[in-house]
Amino acid sequence: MHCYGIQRYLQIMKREFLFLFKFDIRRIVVLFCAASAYLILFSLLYQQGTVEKIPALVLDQNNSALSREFVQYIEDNEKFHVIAEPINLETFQNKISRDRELVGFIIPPDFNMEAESGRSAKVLMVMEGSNLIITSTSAIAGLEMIRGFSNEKGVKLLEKNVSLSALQAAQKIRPVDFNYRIIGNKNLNYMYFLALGLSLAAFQQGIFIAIAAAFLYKPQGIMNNEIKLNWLARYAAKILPYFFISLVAYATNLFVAKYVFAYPIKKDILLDLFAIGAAFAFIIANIGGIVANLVHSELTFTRISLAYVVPAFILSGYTWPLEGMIKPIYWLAQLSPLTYLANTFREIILLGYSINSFHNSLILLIAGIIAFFLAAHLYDLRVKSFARSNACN
Amino acid sequence: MTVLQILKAEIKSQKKWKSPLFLLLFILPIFYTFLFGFTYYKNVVNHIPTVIFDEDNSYISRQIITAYDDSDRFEILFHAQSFEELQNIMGKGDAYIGIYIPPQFSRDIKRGIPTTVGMMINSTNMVFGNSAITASQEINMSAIIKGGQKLTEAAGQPTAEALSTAYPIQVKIRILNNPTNNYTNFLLLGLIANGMQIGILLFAPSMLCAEYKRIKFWSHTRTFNIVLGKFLACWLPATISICLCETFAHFIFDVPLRAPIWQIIILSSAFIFIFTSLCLVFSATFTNPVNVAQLPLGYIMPGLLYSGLTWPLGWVDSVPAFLGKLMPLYYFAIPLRALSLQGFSPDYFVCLRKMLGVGTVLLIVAGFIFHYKRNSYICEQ
Repeated sequence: MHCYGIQRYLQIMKREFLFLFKFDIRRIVVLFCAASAYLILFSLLYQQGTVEKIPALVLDQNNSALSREFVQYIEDNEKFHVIAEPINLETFQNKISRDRELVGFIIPPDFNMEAESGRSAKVLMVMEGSNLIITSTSAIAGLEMIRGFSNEKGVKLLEKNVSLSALQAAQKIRPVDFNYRIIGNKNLNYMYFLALGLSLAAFQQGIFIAIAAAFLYKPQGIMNNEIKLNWLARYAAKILPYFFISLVAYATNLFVAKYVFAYPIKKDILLDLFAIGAAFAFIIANIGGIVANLVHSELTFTRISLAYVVPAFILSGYTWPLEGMIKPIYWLAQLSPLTYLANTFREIILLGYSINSFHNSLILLIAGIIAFFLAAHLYDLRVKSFARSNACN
Repeated sequence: MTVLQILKAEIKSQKKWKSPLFLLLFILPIFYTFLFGFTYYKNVVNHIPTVIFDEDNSYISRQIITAYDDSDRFEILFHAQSFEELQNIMGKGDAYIGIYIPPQFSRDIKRGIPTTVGMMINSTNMVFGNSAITASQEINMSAIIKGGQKLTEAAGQPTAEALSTAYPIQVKIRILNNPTNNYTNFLLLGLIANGMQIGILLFAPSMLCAEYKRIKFWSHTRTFNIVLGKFLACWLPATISICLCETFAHFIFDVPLRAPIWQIIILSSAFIFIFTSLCLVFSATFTNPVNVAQLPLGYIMPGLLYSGLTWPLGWVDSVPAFLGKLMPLYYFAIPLRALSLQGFSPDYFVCLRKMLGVGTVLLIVAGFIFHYKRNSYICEQ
C-alpha cells in the first residue's frame, strides 16, 4: 500500500472546497440551503398549526331558546365559526355536499321538546369527508362540544326532576371524568408534526446533489495526482468537505428551527440530535458516493435521487406510521436511511428523548462505514480506469 | 419535418424498455402507484398499542378495559403494575396510549365522588394521536353515559327516562363520501399526480435544450413543429400513463371513481398539458440538462404539499395561499379527489379552463424562447 504525504490529500480537499465555493456554486447552495429553505417554506405553510374556526352551517329547525343556546355554544367553541345565513334543508344539503371546508349541524324541529321531556334530542353533525384533517378536527371538537352541552342540560334536568343540588346532579350525570394528557405534541400542531421531517428530506437531497457533482461534474474530472494515492484516504479527502458542510447545514437548520419558528430544541438534546444527524449525513454522503461511481452521468444521478425523495419521505413513517404498513412495505422502508432519522429526530425534539436514538445512530453509522468502503472501492476502480485510459493515450 | 414526423421519430427513438420515456413516464408513476397504494393498504390505523394500569380492578374498571379491548382501534398489549411501569412502557415507545384507572374508582362512582381516569396519548405522530383521541372519546362517552344512566336511575329517575336524563342531547356524526376516513381515498390519487409530475419533470426538461446542439439537423424544420412535436411526444404517453395509474388505483386499491370517466380523463390530460408546457419553458431556457433536472428539488415536495392536498389552504396565511395557487397540482389534485369521492367537483370547469389557458400560454412562451435561442445559435455558427 502506498502512503504519500498528507499534503496530497489536503490538496484534494482544497480542490473540493474550491469547487464548492467558487467554480460550482450550486453545490454549496443546495448543500447548505436546501434544508433551511424547506424548513422555512413548510413552517410558513403550517404556521397556524391547527385547524381553528371551521365554518359551521347550522340548520336550526327548532328555533327555540334551547336551540339558540346550542348555536351560541357552537359559536363559543374555538374550533367552529357559525356562518350566519338563512337556509333551508335543500340549500343546507347543497352547501354541505359542495363545500369541502364546511361542517353542518342539523337541529331537529322537536329539539327542545325532546330534550326537556325526558326523551333524547338528536343533533346531526354532517361533514364532507374528502379532507381528513378537517374531518378529524371537526369530529374530535364536535363530540367534545356536544358532550359538554348535553352534560349541562342533563344536570338541569336531574335538578328539576329529582330535586338534587347542582353539584350532586353533576356528579350523577358525569360520574367519571377522562383526563387527557397528550405527550409529544400537546396542541396537535401540524407544524411540529411535519415541517422538520420535510426539511430533513431536503437535507438528504442537498447532500446527494452536491456529492453527485463532486464525482460527475465534467469540468472537475479526476486529477492525475490522485492516481497513486491510498484509495481510502483519497476517497475520504474527497468526501470530507461535503460531510463537514452538511453538518454546518444541519446545525443551521436547527438554529433556524429554534430561533425563527420556536421549535422546542433544548440544549440537553443537542448531543442526541447531532449524533444521529452526523450519522445520517455520513451514510447519505457515502450512498451518494456509491451511486455516483456506478452511474455514468450527473443527469442520471439527479434523476435517480429526485425519484427517491418522495418515496423515502412517505416510507420513513414520518406521516403514516410504520406499524400501519403491510410487512413487505415495512421491510422496504427499513432500507431507507431516512426511516432511521425522521421519527427519532421528531421524538428527540418533541419528547426530549428517543429510546431509538442510540440504536438508530449506530445502525446509520455502521451502514455508513460499509457504504464508505464500498464507495471508496468503486471510486478507486474509476480512478484506475482513468489511469489506464491516460496511459493508452 | 412535420409535427407528425417529429412525434414518430421521438417515440421511435424511445421504444427500448430502458429509454427515459418508458422508465420515467410509465415505470416510475406506475411504481409510485403500487408503492403508495400498498403503503396505505391498511387504510386506517387500528390496533394502536395500549398499556393499562388498573389500580381499582373492579367490575366497572374491567368494563372500561373491555370496551377498549373490544375496539379495533386499540390493542391492549400491557397491563402495568405501577404508574412508573406505565410511564416506562410509554417512554420506550412500546405503547402509544396509556390508561390509568385510580384506586377506589368504582367506590367513588357509586358514592357520587368525582373520579378521573387518566388517558396518556403519545401524539408525536399525529396519525396515531388523532385516531386514538377520536376513538377513545367515543368509548369514554358511552362509559360516562352508562354510568350516568345507572346513577340517575338510582337517584329516583324512572328507568325509561334515566338514559335521556343522563344524555339529553345526542349527536350523530355523518361523514359524507369518505365515511371511514380512508387514507388511500384521501391521498393516493394526489400522490399519483405527484408521481406523474416527477416523471415529467425528469423527462421533459431535457427535450428542447438538447436540441440546441443539433441546430443543423433542424435547419429545415419550423420552430413551431419542433416544439409541438416534442410536446406531443411527452403529453401523449404521460396522459396514457396517468390514466393507467388511476385505473390501477381504482381496480387494485379500491379508490372510488364516482364521476364520469371522461371528466377524469379530460382533467388529467389538462394537468399533463400545463405541466409539460411548464417543463418545456424550462427546457427551452436552459442549455444544460443537468441544471434543468435539478430544478425540481425546489418543487417536488412544495408542489405536493402546497397544493392543499393535505393541509387545507383555507387555514394558511396569504403568502403560502398565494404560493399554493401557483402550483399546477392545486388545480388538479383537489378537483380529482372531489371527482373520485363526491362524483363531481364544483371547481371542475374553472380549474380546467385555468390549466388549459395557462398551459397554452406556457407552450407559446416555450416556443418563443426556443425560437429566439435557436436563432442566436444559428447566428453564432
